Amino acid sequence: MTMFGYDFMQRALVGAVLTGLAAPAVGTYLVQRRQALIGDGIGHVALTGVALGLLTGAFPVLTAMIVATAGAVTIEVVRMRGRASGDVALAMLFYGGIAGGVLLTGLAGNSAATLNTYLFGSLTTVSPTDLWVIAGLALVVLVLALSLRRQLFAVCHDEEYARVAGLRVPVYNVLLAVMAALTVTTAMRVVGLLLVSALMVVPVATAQQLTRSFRTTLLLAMGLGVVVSSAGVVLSYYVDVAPGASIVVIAIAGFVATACLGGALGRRRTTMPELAEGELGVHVAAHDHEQVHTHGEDCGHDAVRHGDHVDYLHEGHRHAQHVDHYDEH
Amino acid sequence: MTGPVLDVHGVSVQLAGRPVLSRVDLQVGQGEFVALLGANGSGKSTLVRAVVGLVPVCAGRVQVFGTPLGSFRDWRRLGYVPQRLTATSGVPATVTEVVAEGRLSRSAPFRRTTRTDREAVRAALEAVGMADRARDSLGRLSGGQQQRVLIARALAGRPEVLILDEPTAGVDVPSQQAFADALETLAGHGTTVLLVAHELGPLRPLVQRAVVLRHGQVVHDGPPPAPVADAHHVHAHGPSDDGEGLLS
Repeated sequence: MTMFGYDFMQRALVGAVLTGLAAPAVGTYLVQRRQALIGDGIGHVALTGVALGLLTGAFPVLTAMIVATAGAVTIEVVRMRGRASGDVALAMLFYGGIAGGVLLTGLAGNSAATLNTYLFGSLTTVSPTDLWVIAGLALVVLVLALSLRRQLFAVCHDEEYARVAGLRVPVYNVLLAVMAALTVTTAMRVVGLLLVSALMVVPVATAQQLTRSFRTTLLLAMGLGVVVSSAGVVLSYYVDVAPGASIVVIAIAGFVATACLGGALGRRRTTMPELAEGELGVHVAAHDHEQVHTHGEDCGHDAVRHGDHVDYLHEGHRHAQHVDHYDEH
Repeated sequence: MTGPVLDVHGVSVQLAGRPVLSRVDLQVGQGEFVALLGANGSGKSTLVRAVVGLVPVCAGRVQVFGTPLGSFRDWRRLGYVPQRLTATSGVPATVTEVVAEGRLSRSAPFRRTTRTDREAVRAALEAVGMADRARDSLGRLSGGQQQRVLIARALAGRPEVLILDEPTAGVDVPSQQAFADALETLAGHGTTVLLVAHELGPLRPLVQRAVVLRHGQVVHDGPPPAPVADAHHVHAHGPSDDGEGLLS
């Protein structure tokens, strides 16, 4: 009997594909606004939800979804307030979430093995009910992530501009937080709560080495997400490890391979070299040969980005435009 | 009869408990080209941020197109170019994708990009001389080119008033010129412009009226101040390097 003959493997693979699609879709927006670690925090909080389900005999995926959503909205409200103490408040929420989860699981009389299936995923414990919930949540997340792409892109790219463009930025912020919470719940059974964030972030990091547009980054990350989560589930079947671990190791291997490949290709491209901070030279007004020449994009001199302006390489030194003349940097 | 496009009356702003603006009055009429000048820390950026609602006002009132800012909803009439050193974010994005954000004030959630949207984006990129870079990744452009992209984003919404926060800071000469040309065309078509600037440079001929702020108060409202002679030009590149006689 092949592994695909087992019901549990079929469910695990379907769950992996759905998770692989949904996690990078939300992750792309989170990476765009430089919140790559927020999924990790939501995962910690969700553990308390799982434990509540185990303790009360309720459906753990449902309680996890409720607690994760509440946690994600709290995180977003703290972020929007922008207080300096917000960072510490989030740390307390994250550690409280995981400690509460372990505590309640212990009180419920469940073993560390049960907890492990939620922390790192499990092939055999994805029940048919779990799968329906995963499918429903993944569908909601995907529809929102794709159909509101223009609005979410604008909010994550430049929140202040989005406000002046008349977008209801707080609504989109909370929506994205809820989408992240639903994704964490979706991914929980297959990759586990501690590693779900990796599936939201690593495929995006891999994709953006190869892309130049947001749209292709989003779609490629979703494709990569499906590939690494399915491959991880298959690997997990053969070597008998938690699927979360194999999925994330494969995802990171893909990232490293792409980085090496991209590095080799990138060296052949002409890129504008960036000057490190601290290389600011003495500002001396340049000699007068530039009077007959205005530096620009196509002036024939190589451009170097230098802090907030562009220098032009000129006979072994750099010229920076300053009002009506050039400084030598 | 048309009232002022932007009407700031007795506005005071505090940031982190520190007064930044005190009782500022500023009116910008339809079709005017107004420059808001001042040294670093004079409050000029804070004033335009208060005008577009990004900074809360603790006294006074702001009206946009005759409507109090709090109940203003017609954001499509207003184009805003924020002060940014770079327009990039955590994920690559093309020039077109960023400029298309400017169309969102004219779109609704779940609506697809229309042909009008695409045409407006292309026209806006042509206006700033960046049409040939439409499909390029933003991260591969120079600072000046990224700034032009942000201006195109504001233009894509076809606004009636354009509010620009230091759009030429750190911008190379060709970009400054392309930008001045674009603004001249717009002003010729009747667009109202409020521009925050440190140095006017090639924009000087366009400015009809200059408002100078110092320590959060208006100290000049009238013709643009004359540029200082080169002899006064200090080579320190520090905060005193403002290039405007009235500002130091």
